[in-house]
Amino acid sequence: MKRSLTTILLLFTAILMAAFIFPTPALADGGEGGLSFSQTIGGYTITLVFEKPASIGENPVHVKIVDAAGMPVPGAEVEISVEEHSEAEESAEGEMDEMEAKPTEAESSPSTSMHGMEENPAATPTPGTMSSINSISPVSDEHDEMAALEPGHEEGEYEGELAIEKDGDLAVLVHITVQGELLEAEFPLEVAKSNAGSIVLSVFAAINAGILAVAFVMKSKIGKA
Amino acid sequence: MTTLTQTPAQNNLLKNKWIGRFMRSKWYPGIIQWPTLLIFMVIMFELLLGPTSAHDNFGTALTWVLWWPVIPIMFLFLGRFWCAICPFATINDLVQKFVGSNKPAPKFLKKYGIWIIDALFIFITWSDHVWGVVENPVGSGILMLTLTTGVVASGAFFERRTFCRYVCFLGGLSGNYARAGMLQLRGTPEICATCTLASCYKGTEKADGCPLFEFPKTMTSSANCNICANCAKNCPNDSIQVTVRPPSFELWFIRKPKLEEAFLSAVIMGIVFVQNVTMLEAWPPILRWLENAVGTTSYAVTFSIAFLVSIIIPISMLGLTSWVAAKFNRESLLTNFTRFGYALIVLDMAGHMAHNLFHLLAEGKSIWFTGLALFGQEVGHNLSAALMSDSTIQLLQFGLIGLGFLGSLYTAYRIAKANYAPEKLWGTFAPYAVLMVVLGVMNVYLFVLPMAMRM
Repeated sequence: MKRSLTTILLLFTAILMAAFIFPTPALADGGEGGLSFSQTIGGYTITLVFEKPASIGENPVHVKIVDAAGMPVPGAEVEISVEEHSEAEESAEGEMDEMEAKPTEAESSPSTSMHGMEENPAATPTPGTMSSINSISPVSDEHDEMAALEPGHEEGEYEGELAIEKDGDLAVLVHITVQGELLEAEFPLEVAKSNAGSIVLSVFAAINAGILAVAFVMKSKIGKA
Repeated sequence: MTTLTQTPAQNNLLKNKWIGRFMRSKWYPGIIQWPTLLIFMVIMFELLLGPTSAHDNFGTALTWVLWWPVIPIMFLFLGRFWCAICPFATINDLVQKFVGSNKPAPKFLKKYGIWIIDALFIFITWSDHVWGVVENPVGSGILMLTLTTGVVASGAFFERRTFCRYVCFLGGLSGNYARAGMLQLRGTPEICATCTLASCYKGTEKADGCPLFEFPKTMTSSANCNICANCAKNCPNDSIQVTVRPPSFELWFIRKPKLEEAFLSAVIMGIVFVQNVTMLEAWPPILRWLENAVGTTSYAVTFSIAFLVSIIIPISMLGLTSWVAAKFNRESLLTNFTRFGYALIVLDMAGHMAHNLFHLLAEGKSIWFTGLALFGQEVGHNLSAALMSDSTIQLLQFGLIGLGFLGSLYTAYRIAKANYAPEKLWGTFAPYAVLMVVLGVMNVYLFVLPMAMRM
């Protein structure tokens, strides 16, 4: 009887572990290498490069800017943020409405826009700043925060980190101020669902199954004694 | 005859027909415990497999917007009742029932349990800031799973609720707060004096013995009573009383004050400070100043320094005050520190509640929004999650801090009165009164400053 119970318990444990150890495979966006997007706005070609496939967390990014003559553009102010795709579209539509009232040189896709000397209330998030155990704000509009990129090693290149907090269809907004002009580019980005939760769950399930198995054996020994 | 630490027996809630019957029934506390476990499983599922953004995660909203702010309120009104229905405790009991070896709790845990709890509480708060436990659902899930593993191990090898009593950081917090709580369970001294059965501790076929290793016959504190009523079910002499008492009542007559518990109350004050400071608009400039001062942008380093300072401030203030008080009452600094550290608990609770009131009332609707999202209903993206205006919340926060200040002040007075002769009373009390004023003003000041996360 005890033996069959042990078998059942071990079988159950094995099934449980297998279920967690082989979770849904991760779908990294963009394959093994990084991602690169380009867009031309107002005569400037803006290239957004992700060093690695975009994922939840901090993502190192580069933005390269070249002018119509193909020359790199140094000294620009570059800010970057990420939004949900639908929000980004709404935001772009709103900006397009504003643009209709102003003369503009916007070109490229409808989701890009260009503003004249418009002030952008950009906020740079403090690196590493995290909300406290009592300080959750699940409904805050964090997409409004933009991170400033620093000039990179090459001329016309800017680099920094883009914090991505959720998966799914997102849009990366790049705001560039060149010679007093604000260029805004939007790049669609698909971030695959993270399987971190499944991995964590499997690790803990395995540990707990181990503890339970040891406890079961101990209890059996005590019972026999 | 009732002792000073007891409230009159005529207030015994167990004498009430409905309450008494309910608490002694086999359904209590299971009828609340099992649904709580079910909700916990939903939370775990959401945290680990639900939306990756805290903004959209129902588990995050339920845990940090609802449960965490409500829990200190529960401690005030119901003592440590949460521990009776806590899902971790239920898991402990389940594991124990099926595979538990029921070995005695390790001696080192009994000896250093509260210090371990102090250290864990500090570490978890630190790790939340540095690794982002709250803002990351998986991070919250890891915290919950770590606790689950702890209770599984405890239930598997040790008797009763060893983890809850000696290791759980929330248990330590709730133990401290429950002392100031309004609900008390005790044995009737006259009845218990003649009892030789100790069924309340050992258990009977009706119910297990006290899960938190308490013996109601000699129990003088509510710190380790979760009102599970096992003792009431087991007592053949109907000795157990559950009474309502004034808030902070127990703190006035602590018989055996412990340094580690006094230390924890000062630590909690520091943690409340750091929680508030990191939400202030002034926090990024402080952080930048620290980065320049220490020459690193590592948040782990700069936050650790700020955290350490925040915790050291109330501990040193209490130490300094105790040094001054020792001049008057001729007792050691440590004795004063240990004895009067308990007076901080009321202000701790008030500060904790006031801080969390913001999250509950300013972000409360996020529970509804994320809950609907669970069923595919997209609402609330552009809607405010606030249940009340910022000014109303702030008014409530000041009210709470005011009450906490008065409570701590009065508790310090009662501790002085209970321990010192009249000629030493005022000399001992005065430095602590000044301390309470300073801590009260610091708390109010933190709530006056604009908070970056106000919506």
